[in-house]
Amino acid sequence: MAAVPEAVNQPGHAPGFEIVVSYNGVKRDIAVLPQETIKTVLDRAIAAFGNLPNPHTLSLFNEGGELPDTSTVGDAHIHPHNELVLRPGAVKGGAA
Amino acid sequence: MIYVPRLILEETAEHLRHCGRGIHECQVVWVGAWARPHRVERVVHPRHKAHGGGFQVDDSWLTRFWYELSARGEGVRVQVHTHPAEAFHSFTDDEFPMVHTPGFLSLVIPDFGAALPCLERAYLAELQNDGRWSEAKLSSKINVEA
Repeated sequence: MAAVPEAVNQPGHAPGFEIVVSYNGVKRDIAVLPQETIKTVLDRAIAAFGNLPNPHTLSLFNEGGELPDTSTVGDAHIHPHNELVLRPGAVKGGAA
Repeated sequence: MIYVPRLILEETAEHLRHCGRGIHECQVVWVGAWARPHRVERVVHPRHKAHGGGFQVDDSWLTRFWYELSARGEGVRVQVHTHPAEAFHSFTDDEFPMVHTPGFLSLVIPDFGAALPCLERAYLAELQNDGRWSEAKLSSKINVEA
């Protein structure tokens, strides 16, 4: 269970809640605030999975696609217990 | 050590040769349940675009696959792809893997998979803690079971 940020209880802030982020089939509970940016949630998710190397290549997605870093949790219509996936922005390979 | 049933290797050969037709690269991933973290249990053939010198996994397919892994309690253990000739880990292979967890394995198969299921000239790379890839001895990381 992830700790809810202290800002949750401060006046003037909407209450926080937990979502689920999965990475390669592993799930972690992540505490978020509606006014937080997706970039903040992304950084928290990467840390929850052990500070993955090359974090600049990772993004958060829902069924609709990639969530823009500058959107807020509220703007992205993320609700309690929603599941987001943490995955690379592109997967490719090859000899050329 | 990752344990891979021979049937998985044979299915891998079928995907890589059938999809690549000896002219395109191709990728499959080896998947297993997190309850049995050292075992590969199925082969997944991602939807992708490919040409003679590379491939790219379809973006929306990857998101659906990530949700599927979460629902099934599974994870990708090894990514496997072909090269047209020599097997090595290219700059693109280094930069755009499916999984970024240290210890993740990437197996490169030469000659569009012509010699599969023989892995004699295959190249195995392992992701290090600092994000770089190093060559790994195949026999010390992957055990193909009868």
